[in-house]
Amino acid sequence: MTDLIAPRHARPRRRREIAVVLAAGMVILFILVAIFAERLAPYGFATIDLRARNTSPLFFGGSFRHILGTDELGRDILSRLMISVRVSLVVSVLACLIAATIGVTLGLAAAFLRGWVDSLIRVAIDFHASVPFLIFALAILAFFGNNIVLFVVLLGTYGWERYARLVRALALIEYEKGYVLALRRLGAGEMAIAVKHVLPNVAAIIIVNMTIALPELILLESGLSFLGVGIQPPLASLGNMVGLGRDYIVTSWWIATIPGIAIFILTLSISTIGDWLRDVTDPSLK
Amino acid sequence: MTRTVLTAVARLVITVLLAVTFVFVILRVSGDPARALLPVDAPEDQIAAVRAEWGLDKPLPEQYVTYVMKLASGDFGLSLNDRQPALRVVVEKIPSTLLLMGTGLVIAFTVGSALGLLAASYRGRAPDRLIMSLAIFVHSIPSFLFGILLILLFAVALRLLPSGGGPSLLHLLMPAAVIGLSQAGVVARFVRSSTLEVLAQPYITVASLKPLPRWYFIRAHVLPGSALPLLTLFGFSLGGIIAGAAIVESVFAWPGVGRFLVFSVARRDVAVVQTIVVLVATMMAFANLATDLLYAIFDPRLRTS
Amino acid sequence: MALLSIRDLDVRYPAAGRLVPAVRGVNLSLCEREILGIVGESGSGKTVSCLSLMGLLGPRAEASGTVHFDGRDIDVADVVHDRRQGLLPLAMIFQDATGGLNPIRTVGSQIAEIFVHRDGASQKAALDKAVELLESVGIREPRERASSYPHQMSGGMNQRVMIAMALAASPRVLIADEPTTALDVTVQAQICKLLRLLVEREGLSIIFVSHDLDLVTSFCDRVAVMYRGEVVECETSEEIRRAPKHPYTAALFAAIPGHRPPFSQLEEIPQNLDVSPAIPAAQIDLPKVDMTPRLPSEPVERPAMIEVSDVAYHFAKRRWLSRSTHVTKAVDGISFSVPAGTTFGIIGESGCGKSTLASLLIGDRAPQSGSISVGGHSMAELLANGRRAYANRVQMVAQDHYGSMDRRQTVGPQIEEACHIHFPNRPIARRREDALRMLKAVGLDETHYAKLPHQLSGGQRQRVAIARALIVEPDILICDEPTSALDVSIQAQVLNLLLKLQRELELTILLISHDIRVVAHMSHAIGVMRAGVMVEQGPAQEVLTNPRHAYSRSLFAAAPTSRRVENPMSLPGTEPLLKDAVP
Repeated sequence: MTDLIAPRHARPRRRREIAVVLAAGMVILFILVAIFAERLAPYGFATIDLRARNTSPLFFGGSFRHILGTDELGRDILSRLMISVRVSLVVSVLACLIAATIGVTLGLAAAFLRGWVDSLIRVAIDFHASVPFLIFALAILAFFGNNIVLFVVLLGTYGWERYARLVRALALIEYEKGYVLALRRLGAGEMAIAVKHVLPNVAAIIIVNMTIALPELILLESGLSFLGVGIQPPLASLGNMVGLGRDYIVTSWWIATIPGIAIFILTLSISTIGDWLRDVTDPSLK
Repeated sequence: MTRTVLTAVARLVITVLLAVTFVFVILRVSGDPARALLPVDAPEDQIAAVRAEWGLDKPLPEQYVTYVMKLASGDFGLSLNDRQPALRVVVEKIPSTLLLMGTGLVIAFTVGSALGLLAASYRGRAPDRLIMSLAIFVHSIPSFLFGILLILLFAVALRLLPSGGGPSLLHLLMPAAVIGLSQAGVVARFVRSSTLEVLAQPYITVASLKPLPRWYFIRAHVLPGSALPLLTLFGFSLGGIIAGAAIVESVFAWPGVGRFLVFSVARRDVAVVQTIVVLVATMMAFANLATDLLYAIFDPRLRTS
Repeated sequence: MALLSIRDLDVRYPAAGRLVPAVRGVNLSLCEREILGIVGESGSGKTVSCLSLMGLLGPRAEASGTVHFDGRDIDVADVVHDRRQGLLPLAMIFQDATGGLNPIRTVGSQIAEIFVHRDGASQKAALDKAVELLESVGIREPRERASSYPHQMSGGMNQRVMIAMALAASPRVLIADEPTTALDVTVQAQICKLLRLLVEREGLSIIFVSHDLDLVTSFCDRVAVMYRGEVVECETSEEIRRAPKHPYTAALFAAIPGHRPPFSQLEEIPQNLDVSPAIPAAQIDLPKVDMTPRLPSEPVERPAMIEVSDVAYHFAKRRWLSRSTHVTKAVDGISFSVPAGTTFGIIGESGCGKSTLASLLIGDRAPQSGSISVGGHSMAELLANGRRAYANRVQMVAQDHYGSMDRRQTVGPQIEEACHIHFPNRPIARRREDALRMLKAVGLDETHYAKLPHQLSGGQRQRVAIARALIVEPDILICDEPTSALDVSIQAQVLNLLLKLQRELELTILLISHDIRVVAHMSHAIGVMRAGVMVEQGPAQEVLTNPRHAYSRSLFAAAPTSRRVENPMSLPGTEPLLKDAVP
């Protein structure tokens, strides 16, 4: 009743909706490319054509033979890009799912079991947040060496603490809410409350958080691959394409720049959707 | 107050100890630590010597104690690089990294807070939308791509700045800009939302009814409330800046700890890597300690309750 | 001659693509040294009217009308968006006093800054003036208090600070928007007394906004009644009490417990859900109030349904690195018993332990000593195998009607879930039937079955909560402030429903409330709680008319009632309570 500041509703945000639709279209395009990479790619991603080395992209002096040009070994950039999108997307999505599973399980366990389990999980969360993940990842890779399974699992530990913290906090808030109290007072079992009421109430936030974490994972994967400690050649990923092309930046700028821009468009699109999702599901904005 | 300080210090000690334990565990799990700490072609007697020195022939708890004691005394093992003590090699490179991070941090917080405040005061209107779009933009651009584009523009096309190397002020410009601007987006979003949150507080309405000059009202009532949460962000973005430094230093060949870390990981120079991990964790822990203490100083609700 | 008058005030907010009126054609006037009360239910436009005077309507509002102040005419449209208009010497205080003070600044500095920046006073002189002001609003040890932070003070003290801060701007009119709603009745009486004192001493005029008709008609000189954005009646307090002219005012009086004999039907103001806000109040046909009292149900000798003997619960808080333990005796040796089919009312102010007592009675926590028995079985025995056996006998309706439901689920299935817990063998179709029957019993129907909680009104949600509790077929229903979050007219519906259900189902009710009128209307016996102890209990009539304990007397005296306080200055002051003097 004593609303000091009258609620200010955002004006119809047409422009933003257009941006979200565009972003969704982009993400779908990337997914389709990832699925049908072999069929869409004009050349094999590792096919070397030494006669066509360092061809410029179309409109920059190149031809339709290699629309996005070729690299220093004459490999078609477009074909490599398509395979890279698949590798990067699969790695990041898998990692994202692993992180969400770990985080949600631990967060719920902490909120549900309380006591020493809660303390332990909180210490782990605190610790994980206290070492920047990239440093943590580099350390693990230094000690264990590199292989793709380890790499995916390692990325899967990125951001688990955010899910755990969020789910724990939200679940604790849910547990404090009147309806949980009411259900207990009705004699409902704890398991039923957790599964039928608390989890569905925090589910939306988990999904939002995943769309926010996914672009960060793509950046992380490409960052590590760029540094040469992630996805290793001959396998291609967006990051290692940039990393390998970096040496030719002065003479053949497109080798590094094109996959870099692909990463940018992909992350920007997912971020735009995640941002929008966060705003629509945020109860404080309703 | 003493309680706050003690809690904060306890948190610091626990975090550092956890980092050490973490390194100890992965060192043990990943194989023979003695071999890991030495070059691949090290002779057997040297391996045996290291094993004895680090107490690796003893039971695990004893190994752990020896390990912690050695680290505490500053012995992190020898770097593969010229067989120098790892700690010394790393410490040598700290000043240039701190210079880069510090400049980046300053850029991130000044640019970020200014844009965040601007966005908040134009909430929902064009400047707000522009700034928030920019924030997502810089958040989505990979820092290595950002760096490469800057090099293409300023070093290759315009020939204004050196493409890499250093450390010098001229060399510092581009990497610091990349680090700072990538974080500025996060800061801007944060400042915007904390400012809007403060502006929605009833005490702001009450204060706005008092006969106070505009500048004083903002300085005394709006800014303190919206700046306080920045302390939390400080610890958080320090992590982002440290991580960013590893990539950015590599792109610009900046002779700092980050580039050295990447280099050492590729060579599997375990002694150097463990040094850096422990140092980074210590640094982060100190940042968190500072945050806790500053909160206690600036927020009376924590100071007197 | 009026000091301030508002002419033809209209305020509209855009909603769903059109402008919806919040206030329509409001005319009000305020004389010098007068307290004008504005009373109405939520959404009646009483707050909006005041905010428009202060330029606080927010950027989206559209307003028109004129304000005439001390010989000047001001167009409302000019000042409506500009909170720093500085045209009128007005000041305003709000319901949430603690939230209205900057949490990271001392209260003294928040008053002193006005003198520094308006008068150019030195910091020291400004602080001295602030201390003086704090003293004048009745804050003890004002110099020490001036260097306290808002979180270190009670709500009542913060409201005093807010008043001091408002006075620092030397206003001629003070607008008080529900200034006492968040406070205990004894503190409310003190604040009212202070406001009256300011009128006498400083020559201030006050606009006092409240939802409580009893409070404004006993405290204010004149009262304006607002309904659906319009002032339906503006008269002296005596006149309004004696003979309300508008049917809405009459209905509002008849909805308040205390104006009717205990246990009688309260007036239910129809919600006119089909009436759009665009239709003026005069055209809404309110039923004439039926003043014939219904007979109270006679309590007869019955066996005790619930027996509480010497129950205690203490909170021990040990601070880290500190040897001393701080013990709060939330419930400290309470005994009572409630005969089957009757209502036991528990009254107390905030912090008296009534919520803790409720949590003990419902079984959220076990008493540390003493015993509770329900229908002859001890609580420990009933709780031995999970909560179901106990829940089957004792159910609860809480204050927070929205929070008490899963907001993602429609309400029908939530009622069925309660049924399923206790009668797992009932087939699904039967459960649904039961839920619908229960919805009907609480005055809802099958159209509400598939509604989400937020699609229902507050009163409807509270009915659903009652249905969900009663489908379990309990013997005892604990109602913890069941109507405190509801408007008076909705409160009347819920109280009527509880009375009806009690008659039909022979329910034993434990009613916990801070509102003496509600407790007096509903209870056969009453207990008064303070600081974890039940200072007094007995048959309702006896406790209410002849309280033995000094605290009960001061509590009842401070509460707004249907009685007119002849001399407002003698409002039963109850000198500052302990909690108001120590942080």
